[in-house]
Amino acid sequence: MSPAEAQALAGKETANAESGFARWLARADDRLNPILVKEVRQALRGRYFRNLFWLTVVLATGIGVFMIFIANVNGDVDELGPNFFTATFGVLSFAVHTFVPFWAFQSMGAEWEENTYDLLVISDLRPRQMVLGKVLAATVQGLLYYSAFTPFLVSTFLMGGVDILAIAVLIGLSLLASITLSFVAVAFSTLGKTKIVRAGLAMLLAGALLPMSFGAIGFGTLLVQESSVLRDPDFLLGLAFFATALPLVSLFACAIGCARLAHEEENRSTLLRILTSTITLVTLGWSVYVYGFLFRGDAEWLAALTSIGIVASSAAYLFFVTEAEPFGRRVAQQVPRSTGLALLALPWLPGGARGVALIVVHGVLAVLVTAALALPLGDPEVVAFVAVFQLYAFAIFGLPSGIAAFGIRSLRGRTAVRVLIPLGVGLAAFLPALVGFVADHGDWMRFEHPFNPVYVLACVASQRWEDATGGLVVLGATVLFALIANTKRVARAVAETQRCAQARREREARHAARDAEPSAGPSAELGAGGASDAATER
Amino acid sequence: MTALEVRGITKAFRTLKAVDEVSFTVEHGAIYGFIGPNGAGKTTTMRICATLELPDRGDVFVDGVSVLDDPRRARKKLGFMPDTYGAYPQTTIREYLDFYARAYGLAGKARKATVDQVLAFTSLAELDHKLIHTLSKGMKQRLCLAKTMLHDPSVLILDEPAAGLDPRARIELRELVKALAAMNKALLISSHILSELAEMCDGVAVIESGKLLAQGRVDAIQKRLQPHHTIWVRALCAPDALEKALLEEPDVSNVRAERGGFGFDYTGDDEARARMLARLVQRGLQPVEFAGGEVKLEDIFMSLTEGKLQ
Repeated sequence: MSPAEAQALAGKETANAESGFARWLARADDRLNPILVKEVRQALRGRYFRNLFWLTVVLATGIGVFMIFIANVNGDVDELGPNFFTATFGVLSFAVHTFVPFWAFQSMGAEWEENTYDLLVISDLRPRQMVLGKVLAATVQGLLYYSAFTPFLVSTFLMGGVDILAIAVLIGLSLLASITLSFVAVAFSTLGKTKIVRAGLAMLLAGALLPMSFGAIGFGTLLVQESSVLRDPDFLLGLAFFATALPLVSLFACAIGCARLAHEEENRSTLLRILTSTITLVTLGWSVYVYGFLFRGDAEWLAALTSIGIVASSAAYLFFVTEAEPFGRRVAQQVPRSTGLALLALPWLPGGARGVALIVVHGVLAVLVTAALALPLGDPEVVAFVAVFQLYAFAIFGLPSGIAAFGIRSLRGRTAVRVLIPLGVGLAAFLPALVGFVADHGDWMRFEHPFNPVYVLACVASQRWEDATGGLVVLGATVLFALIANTKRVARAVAETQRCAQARREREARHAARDAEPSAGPSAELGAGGASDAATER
Repeated sequence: MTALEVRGITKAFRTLKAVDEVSFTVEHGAIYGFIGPNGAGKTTTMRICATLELPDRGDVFVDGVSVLDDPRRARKKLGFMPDTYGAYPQTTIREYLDFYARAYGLAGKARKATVDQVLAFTSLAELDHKLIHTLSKGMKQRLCLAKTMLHDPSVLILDEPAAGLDPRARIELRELVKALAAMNKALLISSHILSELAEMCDGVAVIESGKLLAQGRVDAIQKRLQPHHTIWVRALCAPDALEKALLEEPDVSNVRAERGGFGFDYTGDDEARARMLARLVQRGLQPVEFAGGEVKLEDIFMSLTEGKLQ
């Protein structure tokens, strides 16, 4: 082979490699989320991100230089590393825990404000792609902040006094928190489409994000200044719980966003219900781990963790139990064809009565797991606490929604019930206290009355059964009424589910019969093409 | 298969019935005008067709696919251009179309080729690197039409596409619409500019207060509404002589002085009309202008609607 030939061959190989790389790049480009591509293009060209990015970088650099200067002047270089870290992380925290999620909120809201939502929603994009696209674009922005700030943060390790493990843990958790907050912000943004509601939501979100940033700074300071906590099992347990909670919150927020963006005829409830069940199962799993293996016999942990599940699910329950009862046309077609399977899936299908069934399923599950763990260790009071807690959930969500289901069909009515349920719980605790104040009844005045669930639960937890008796009677009566209000409703939901399963079986049988017709009849002579054309036409 | 079939759709917003049992069909290759006063229910009907609103009753089928049973499949078959829409800031024309091409699942060379095609079709190819917010209204309408065509839908629903356009842009848009119909696409177009619609539509549907008042070919509706034509004539002879002559003609009624001549209602056919003109000439009345007889969409609209506000 001559040198010229070798050179030509090498050139060809390089070109092949390049074209292979280019092809790979093109394929990767095709697979990118369209919203991500658009948002990144817009963000990089827009002023919001560029200005904020440079402002934060300049601010962090300025603060860093100032701190080094002050440390040199004072001759106090021992604390330079931690102080420099706290200051720099403070700026980063505002950027990634406030600005970036808020940008995600604004970006989603801009689809309505700039009248682009209709065009987006009738495209082939799925709601999931829309939500993920917005969050991914926010994450790209966040990563740009991290790439700019990480050298600053790591340099504090070289300055001394800062543990590199603490830096790594903090950056990892901060990134996870930033992504979660972006999911929450996007989900939040889908809740309101009118300007006035959006303004309210923006204020609420900003009000929630700012404390998050301060909380992150506080946590970062603790981690850096007391890095020994990373070897404390309790702290690590909390960290692990936090790390499992964040992805769950992200998933839940993503599901809310998707449900809000989905077509009204689509099933917008099942994914959220499955995630609510997942949250319940994860908290129960934590209960098993903490109570059964880690702090064996610590009943407070068990009670607290099983309660966290239902408290975390409460907001979702509020929507589930007040959903419209009959299935939409599209959802009705998706009910499992097997009656048994359809009935098993019933609590996870849309509809208020099926929402009540979901609360019952979760409650029974929580009580069974708690009983299985606590009874062998001789802690029946924990089972009682969890059972009372779950009964409260059933009563609080079941009774008003059950009563409302008799007359309220409109969306407005259902929204009113969603407001009335938490308001009712508050009033049940507050009004007797007011009566106690007027009648000069000391216990009632201090909210220690049978209508206050928190008081009754506290009595049950501390085994003050005499004090709890009144509350348990009230609870029993409410549960009874809730059962009466929901029995017919749930029976109707069961019947509807059965009907839809049967209708699906009949529909599929009809389709199968129609599909079989061409091959048996004269059109079979047309051959495969004719049959497939006929099928396509159908 | 019918391209677009609207079957008895009804939609109410609280107590207001925006659309009431509306039904019509649009065939492939046809341009269908959708006319009605403000608040008549045109946009609501179109948004239901485009899967953006749910009807309380009824259904819409796009190439046989129900927008209620399978909105995703229906969306693939239809393109919708809303009356008000926004464009992303800091985005060029090509980036905008590239984004929607991606959103419609187009990939690789096919995506680029499709974007190039729609840019060429809408004559935006030379402006593809311009930022959208710098475009004129007419250019933005073209861009939205280009976006609507990206996934090659068989049904196009255009809500007030000519609103706010200058005369040149309107004519260009009309040509684009005709070209789309020639590509065997079904088009449903709403507009306030009735003369625009009359020139390109194969049929119309007239709606008021949510109810469909009439639908079909323009001349057929006209015939049903008014069995006579309106004709206007001007002659060099004395006005009295012309009026007298007209009143003596068969099939002529309601003669009235108009614009320096006479307008009248005429129930005869085209041959009878030709013979009448010949007679006016033979009588030495010296007719110099003899016009009318064509169907006017404005007349249909005014005859059918009462200008009720909802």
